[in-house]
Amino acid sequence: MSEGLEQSYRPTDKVGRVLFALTKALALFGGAVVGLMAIMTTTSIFGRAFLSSPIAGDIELIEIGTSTAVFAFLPYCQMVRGNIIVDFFLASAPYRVKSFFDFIGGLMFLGIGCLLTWRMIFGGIDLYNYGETTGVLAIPRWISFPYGVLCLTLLVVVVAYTLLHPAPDTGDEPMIQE
Amino acid sequence: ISAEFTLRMQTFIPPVANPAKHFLAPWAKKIGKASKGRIEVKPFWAMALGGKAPQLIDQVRDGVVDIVWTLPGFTAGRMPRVEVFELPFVHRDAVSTTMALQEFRETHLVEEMKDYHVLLAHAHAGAMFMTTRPVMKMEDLKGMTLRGHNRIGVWFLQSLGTAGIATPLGRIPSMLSKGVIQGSLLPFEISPAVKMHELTSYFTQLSGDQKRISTAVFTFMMNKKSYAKLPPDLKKVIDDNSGWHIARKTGITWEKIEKPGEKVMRSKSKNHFNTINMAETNRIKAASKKVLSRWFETVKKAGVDGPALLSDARGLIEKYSN
Amino acid sequence: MSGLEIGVTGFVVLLILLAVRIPIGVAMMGVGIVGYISIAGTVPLLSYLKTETYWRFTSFDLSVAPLFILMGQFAAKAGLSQALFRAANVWLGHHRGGVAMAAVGGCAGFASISGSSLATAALMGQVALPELKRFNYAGSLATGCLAAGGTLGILIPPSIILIIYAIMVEANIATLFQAAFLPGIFAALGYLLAIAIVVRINPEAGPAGPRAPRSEQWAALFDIWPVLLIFILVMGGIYTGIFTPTEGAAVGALGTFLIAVTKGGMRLKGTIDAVLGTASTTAMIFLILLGAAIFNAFLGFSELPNLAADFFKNSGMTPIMVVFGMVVLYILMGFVMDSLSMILLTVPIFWPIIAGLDFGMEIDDVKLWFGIISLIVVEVGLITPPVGLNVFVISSMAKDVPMIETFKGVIPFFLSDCVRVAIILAFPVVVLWLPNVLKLN
Ligand code: NA
Ligand code: NA
Repeated sequence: MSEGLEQSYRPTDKVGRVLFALTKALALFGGAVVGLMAIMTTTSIFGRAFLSSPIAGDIELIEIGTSTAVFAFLPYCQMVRGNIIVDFFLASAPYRVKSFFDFIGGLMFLGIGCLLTWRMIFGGIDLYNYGETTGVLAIPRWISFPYGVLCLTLLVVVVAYTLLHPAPDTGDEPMIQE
Repeated sequence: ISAEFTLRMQTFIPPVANPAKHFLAPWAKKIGKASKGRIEVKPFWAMALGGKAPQLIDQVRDGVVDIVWTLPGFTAGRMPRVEVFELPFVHRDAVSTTMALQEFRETHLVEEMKDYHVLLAHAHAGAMFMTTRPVMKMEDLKGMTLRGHNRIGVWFLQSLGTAGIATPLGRIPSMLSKGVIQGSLLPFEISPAVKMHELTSYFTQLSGDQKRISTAVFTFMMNKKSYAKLPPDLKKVIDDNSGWHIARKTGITWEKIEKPGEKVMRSKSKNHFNTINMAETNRIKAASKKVLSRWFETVKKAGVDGPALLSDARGLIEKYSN
Repeated sequence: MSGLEIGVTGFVVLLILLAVRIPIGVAMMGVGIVGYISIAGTVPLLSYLKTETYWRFTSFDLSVAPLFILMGQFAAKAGLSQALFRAANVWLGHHRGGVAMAAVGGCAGFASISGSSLATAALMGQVALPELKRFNYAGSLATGCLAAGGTLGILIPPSIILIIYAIMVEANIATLFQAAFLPGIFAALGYLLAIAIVVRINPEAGPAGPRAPRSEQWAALFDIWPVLLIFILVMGGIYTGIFTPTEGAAVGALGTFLIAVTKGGMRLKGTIDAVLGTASTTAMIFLILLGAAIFNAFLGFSELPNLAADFFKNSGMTPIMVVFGMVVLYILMGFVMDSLSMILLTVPIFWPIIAGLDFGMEIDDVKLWFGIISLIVVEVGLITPPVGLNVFVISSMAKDVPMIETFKGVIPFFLSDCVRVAIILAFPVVVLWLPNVLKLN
């Protein structure tokens, strides 16, 4: 796992710059959520150790926090081309061949992204209508859905952008994209 | 030769679990036999067809699969009326509660379950305290964190002054061994699966005619379209193996599978099997009244008349206890 | 086509898509969706997808992943690699091959608080390569030991791959970490032994450095207190069961953040970099997890895993032969694939097969044993040609060493991996001993 090793694709065109800033801001928000999870969990340990009372429903909060962060991370990951590919069989193929298949992959991602976003809207409506909540804290489940749909929509827009702005020709350099 | 109708049955438990071995797998076989092989019920254990346990209810409604076995407790707020049977000290044993649930379904659950073809709603034999420390009086519970199986269980624990958390069954062993919890409310039947005989030492029931605290309701449901498309004679095969026809037998099955579970718990000499005396039992019952009012308040928002449901449920259990 | 045929076809199509650079998560989702529709129908798929994304990401068990990744990011910014290498070097550097051994030691130290192979290789490469060059180490040994040492990042817990495996087979993450600990230490010792043998055969490859004075040795050891602190607090807490893995990862993320700020001089920009690195790695993993979930749902409908399990159960092959076959398959796949996708792709089929066989062990023990074997073998893929990501990382730093030399330099370490796998295959006790000792009852 790369952790800071992925190449940075900083777009220079206007749309790209706006998208980059948006996805980055969203990713930082997700990072803040992970930070809060760390602080809450650590606090909960102290609560358990010294007051023998863990935060009620902390597990539910961690679960919701995880999904909140992951949704926020997805568009940024695609913006910096962080999604992993097997770059072996076409490693020495000409740039045109590579970018052709990258285009196919982008189209697939675009279609699947739209599908997931579209279906998630109905998932939210279902859970809203049924009034489903988390167990202990009774947090309505549907509230994660409009947020998730927004994040997925941004992901779809970014996928469309990366489809139109393929990665530059890196020549024979092995791409480190794990 | 392949069957005319193949029904996919999905559930969250593995094939080695007691309910799988003693109820679901035999049921699937029985349908095959009774239909002379025209229906094949194919079981898929441990969510092999995708999704997590809380998604089962939608999977059967939408026809992702044909049959599911699940718990309304996974999806809080969706079947609020069913919860009345999970309130503390409503339940007596698996047979009477399961029988009562059939009649209750006809009178109170029609709206709540209208999206499903319900094969059976049933209950287990009842949960008791399984803890690392002895519980002989209410004060012994203070300072412990215990696991309840759903929100009612958590409210019950809170009403006794102990911290309650709701987590899936599978996480009990790691949480116990890490000291995150000091026990759980469980029936015997499932306790070997989460190694309660190794991880806890005190198995505590109550005095009087309600020795167990409360039960959990299970729903065994079929997709409406999958049912509707069967010809009348095959519908009858399903009907003959659901609802009233199998309620008593299923209740007895759940009482029966307590025995092997209890045997495993008793296999360790370190384990103690206690009964809380009548006076303390009454104190616990009195304290748990708070759960009832809390539940009344909560379901009122959904337009449910809690007190009326409770008195009906109690009446039905009384009726089928004889 | 029968479900089984569709299942097999889906698998083949997936492999083809992977070969033509389709992102792994996308390829899994694509094949999963089409296969699902062709067996179960369109309406079931559309219903299934309504809540699948939400539930896949709403996971308590998976919360450890972003927390450990964040911890690793901060650890990288904490400037600990320098101190780790120096501490190992002042103690080992005066032996023949000692500087290379120090590099492996530094990798092992960093691995004990970070879950990433590539980061371990890259960070240790930065500090160790110049020293190895200064002492005229052979290019193949210098780059080979670092590429292999990097794999310790995943072999010694914490390890993201193990977390994913634990969730897939419903094992306890903490127990799996315990199980991986000794094999991880043996991996490091095996690499040290490999270096010793290399320099015995060819003394030119790793000349001895000067001996450091005692005082300097103790001072350097003192300098690695943050690593020790984090390791004892976080991993010690998890191994002994004081913390759940999520709690350990949370404490670790906060702890490494404080150390990165105070010792590593991390400021706002560094923090943002760490968070963005976490974001892209986490999203990459979860997209593949979602893809694997959809693909596996399709496999479930095809009944391929059940049928494969039945086939091997009744095939008359001895259980150990089946595992051996899987090991060989992993090594073959590892030539071209990365470890995470290999685990996600194979475990849903391999695990039901393994679970159906009788190894004379409890099923929970089989989970641990098979998990550690799989972990080691998929990690080998990071150093085998033609696609060996750790080798690429080190090669991009050591421009003067041709990549072919690095792949040659990796051979002794590869052999050491093979020996270790053979030992664990034959003696599961290596894996099971620590979890049994640490069992809290
Ligand atoms: Na590690
Ligand atoms: Na490789």
